[in-house]
Amino acid sequence: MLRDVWTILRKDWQAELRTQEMAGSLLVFILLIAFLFGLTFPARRDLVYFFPGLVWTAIFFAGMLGLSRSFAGEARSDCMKGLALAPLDRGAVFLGKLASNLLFLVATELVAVPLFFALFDFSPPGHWGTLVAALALGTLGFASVGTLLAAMMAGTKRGEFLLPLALFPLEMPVAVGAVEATAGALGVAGAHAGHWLKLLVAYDLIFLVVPYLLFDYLMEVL
Amino acid sequence: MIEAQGLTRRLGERQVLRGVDLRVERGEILTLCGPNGAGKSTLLSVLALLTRPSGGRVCIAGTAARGDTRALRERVGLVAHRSFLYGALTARENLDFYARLYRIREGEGRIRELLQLVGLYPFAHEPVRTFSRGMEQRLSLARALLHRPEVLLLDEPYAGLDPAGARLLDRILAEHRARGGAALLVTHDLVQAENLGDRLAVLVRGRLPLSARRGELAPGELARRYQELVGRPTDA
Repeated sequence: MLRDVWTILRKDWQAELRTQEMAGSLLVFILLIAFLFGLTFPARRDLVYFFPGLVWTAIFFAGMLGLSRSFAGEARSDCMKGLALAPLDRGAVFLGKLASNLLFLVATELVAVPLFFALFDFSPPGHWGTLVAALALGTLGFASVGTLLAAMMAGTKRGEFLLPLALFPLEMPVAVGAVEATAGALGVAGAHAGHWLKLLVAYDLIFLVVPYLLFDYLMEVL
Repeated sequence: MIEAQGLTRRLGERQVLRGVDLRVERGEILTLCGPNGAGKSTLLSVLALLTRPSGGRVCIAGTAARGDTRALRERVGLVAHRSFLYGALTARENLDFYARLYRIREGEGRIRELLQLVGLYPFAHEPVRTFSRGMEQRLSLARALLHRPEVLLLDEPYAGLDPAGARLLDRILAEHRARGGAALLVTHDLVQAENLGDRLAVLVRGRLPLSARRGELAPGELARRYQELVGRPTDA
């Protein structure tokens, strides 16, 4: 199974390195939104209260761009059927695409998060471990639901339009949990990272297992 | 080798397959004709184990397809209307990707052999999105043959092929048959169906009203029977 996940991940990166379709648009988007937020939210002492929300808003919107393109390669020549035909656990297709989306998101965050700290002249927090955990769990939750819905929307006519409509309501717990856990990591008064990290772990587990189990059926109807 | 019994498939309100029985033995090619919307592609999809039938059963090489079909999928190769190829990847990278999914040990050698067979070796490092329809069809054929399947399912495989490509496909099918493989080929060309098929079948509105060995039909009888069942071939 891991071998198949790696094969799918490797194929996605090969395609991306050749076309630079996703990385280019994600990078431009994240730079634009970071500078826009930097200009419209000047550095203030109470910035810490809305800083986590700004960072996650940027990550979610950039992620949306990436997710909407993540099955474009498969849709072009019905490659999902090629994958369904191969003798592999179809759940591995979900995990492979998830791994690929996660890598894109992590790469985006590696640019976005330091940039946000720099633009807002924000001192890095004392709780690095908690911040990294909040980022990792929030990103995993966003990517797992996003990968499932992107696969479902890939074959539909208005998939790129429908994806955000379907995704954001489902992502609400991740959005709230990730923002609150990040706020806790940044030492915002009243924010308890621990509770929210537990919620994120539970959410991530559910949305790792459910799509994995559903994917076999899903690939039949795509 | 390929056996279907009482296959039904419903899509929403529409009954696409209505109790299809067919059988293709080792070393045989069944050519399947039928008008648009008869259910040919759906039948192929069910036989390729991509779609579960609503009723009936499919057997590949004597094993009924139920539950986990991974082992059976390994024995089937499918050339469909769409190529299942990634436009951003080169011809070699596409075959390498599928070779890894099919766990083909001699991957690199097999890829070279197939690219040479389908005449695309000089284009091995070109992205598939730059290929013509015929080149993509040749590569799709190579993809389907990669894991040496015993069962080949081909949905209008001659579409887009030039005369040399068509001769190549004839040769591939002849070799597949000689090796004891089974094939089901969908075509709209009744003359081609008669020339290629060891068995001939016509699918109309989800049913198989005609299924016969080639020897059981007089030359040209397929076209006449098709006309009775469907109307003139040009109407289909």
